[in-house]
Order: sequence, then structure tokens, then C-alpha cells
Amino acid sequence: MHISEGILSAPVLISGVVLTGAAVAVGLRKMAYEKIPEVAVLSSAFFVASLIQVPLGPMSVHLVLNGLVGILLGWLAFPAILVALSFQALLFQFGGFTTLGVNTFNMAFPAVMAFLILRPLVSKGSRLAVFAAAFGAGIVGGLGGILLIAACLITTGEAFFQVARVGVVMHLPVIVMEGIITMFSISFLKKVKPELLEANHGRL
Amino acid sequence: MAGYSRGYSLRWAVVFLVAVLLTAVAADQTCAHKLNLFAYAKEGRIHTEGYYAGGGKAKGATVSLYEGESKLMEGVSDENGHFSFAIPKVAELKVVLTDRRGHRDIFILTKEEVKGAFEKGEKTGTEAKGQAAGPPLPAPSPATPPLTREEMEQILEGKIAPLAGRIEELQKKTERRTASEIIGGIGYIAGLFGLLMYLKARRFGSRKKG
Repeated sequence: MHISEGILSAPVLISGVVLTGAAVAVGLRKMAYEKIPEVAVLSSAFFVASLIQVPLGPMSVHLVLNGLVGILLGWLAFPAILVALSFQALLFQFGGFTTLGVNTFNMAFPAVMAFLILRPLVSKGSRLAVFAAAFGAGIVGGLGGILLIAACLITTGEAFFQVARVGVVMHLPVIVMEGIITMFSISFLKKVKPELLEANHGRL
Repeated sequence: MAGYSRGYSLRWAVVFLVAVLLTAVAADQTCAHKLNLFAYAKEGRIHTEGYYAGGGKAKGATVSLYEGESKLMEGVSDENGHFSFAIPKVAELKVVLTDRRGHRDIFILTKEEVKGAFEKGEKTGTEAKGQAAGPPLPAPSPATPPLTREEMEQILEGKIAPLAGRIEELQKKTERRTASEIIGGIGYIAGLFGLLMYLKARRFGSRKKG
């Protein structure tokens, strides 16, 4: 799901860099000292998750976990995901350097969306609401990522709905799995370390 | 009290993580002296070359030839890490190289490769027992018609196919993501954010860490 080098045009790449740069700046400003270890752990989790590939028919898909990262980190998801993607590109040639801006945006923007929409429910909702919201976060993360990638690929001449439809269909099992994993992770954290999921009042 | 126990277990986690990372680095060091073996079959003989990943030649190492579990032949590599012997049998052959430092490498020659070289060897009449030089070139016979393009392509294909297979194997090996790379990546991330913590801490002066 990471776009490689040499596919996107310069304007797209540059807008990716600009948008991600701005969002990362926002994230860094909001990053309290106490939050940094948590950001590091989630960045590592994101880093490892994409490396676990599950063969699905002719291709293989991988977990993303951007929904989980988003719910826990909010805007801090941008620096977290940027760091993880950078090392994936550096160590495994996964994605690319010119595409770092675009790839980070595609993964982190849905994460922040999931945060803005669903974090209040996770913080203060009933047990069922927490489950539903966490599942939703996983779905928003996965689906949002695919749609943004399809949007990027329009610029290369591909038809958006075609690419989006194929992408969603292919990744549907992974998206559902993301929802389930996010759901269980969040409910586990809610029991073990509820401070991570408190209402944050715009701090994140 | 809750803060104390959390800090305590955190310190142990850090020690454990550092130990794991150091082990990973150490494991990488041994690969710098890894013994490598390359072998190929040509005109009735099997040629082997042993070398170390760092670049040195494996001289005085034991070269053994196996068919399955039974050892067929054995020899010692020369100053350049080379050893060659006549093909004793047409089968899938396993060459094992062992040096005196406890390193070992294996190279498997497919039956087709051995067969091709064996038949070629019979044709050009090489029956060398020791480490003889290459066979004398057969004199061109005026009676044989020149090869057609098709024949040439067939011969080339036969030679290139095993090479292509080996290249594919090598490519797959390099593309695999090793555990040490993954652990290394996590280490880099932890280090980067640790640095960030250090930088952010300075701004607040002395912070008391629970």
C-alpha cells in the first residue's frame, strides 16, 4: 500500500511534502514530553505491522494499524508514521523517499480523522460504544488509506473509481482485520491503562 | 508506590532490549567471516572455490563430495581456495566445505548440471584423476556443418537456465527481511525518540523522572 518511486508526478509529490510537513509541525508542537515514549512504541508498531505480509490469493496484503495509531496519538500520528515510513524506506526499500510526504499523508490523515471523529466515543462512551468506535477507527484508517492512494493514482491517469473499487475489494479482509485488531487493542488498553484513552481536550 | 514499580519494570525492559540489540549486532559480526562455497560442473570435472565473506580465500579447507548421505570423495583446497575433481557419478551432488575454524558451507549441484558436464567430459575425452589442467581443445573438424541458429539458441538456453535459477534464488535471499533488520529498525526508532526526549527535557531544565 506504499506508493513507490517514479510513479507520481512532481506536483503530487510536492503537495504531499507540504501537507505532511505542516501536519508534522502541528504534531511536534502538540507532543508533550510524557507522550514521547508512547509515540515511539506506536511508531515501532506501525513499522513492524507493514512488514507482516499475509498472502491473499495472488498478492499479499499487510496490516497498517493507522487506525490504532490515530486513536491513541491524534495529530502525533503524523510524526510517528513519518518516522516509521522513513525507516521502512531506508532499511527495506519499502515505498520511497520522494514519496515519503504522500505516503505519510495517505496513512496519517485517516488516522487523524479517526481520532477527531471517534476518540470522544472511545474516551467517554459505554463499553459497547468503545468497541464500536475502535472497530470504526480501524475501518476508517484502512479505508481512508486506500481511497487516498486511489486519489493519488488518478493523477497518473488511472480511473479513480476503478482503482478504488479494486483496492477496496482486495483489501476488504485486511480492513476488517484492522477493525478487529484495533477493537481488541483499544479495549485491552482501556482496561490496563485507561489514562492513554482519556478525553484530551485538544491536547493531541 | 505505583510510580516506583512502573519505573523499575521499565528499567528492566530497557536492559532486556539493549541485550537483545547487542546480540543482534554480534550475530551480524560473525557473518563478516562467513565461509562461502561456490561450485560448478564443467567438462567432466567439478570445480569448487571457497572464500570468506570478507574477501579472503579458504585455503587448506576440506572439500567433500556427497551423494545424499554417502561421501564419495574428499580433498583439500589449494592456496586460492580452489579444488577440482573428476565427476565420479551422475547424480545430484552435494559439496561440503569445512575449514579449520569450525565454519562450514554447502553447495548443491543439480543432476542436470552434473550430467551435462559429465557427458561433455566423455565427449572431449578428459579422464583426469588429479588436479589436471583443462582438457585440450578439440580440433575443428571440417566435416561437421556449422551450427544453425536454432541449435545455438538451444545450447545457450541449456547453459543459461541453471544460472538464471541461481540468480533468482539469490535475489529472493536478498529480498527477505531478516529479524535483525526489523529489530534494528525498532532500535533506530527508539533511539530517535529518545534523542527527542533528551532535547525536549533540556528546555525544562532539570526534570525529576519518577
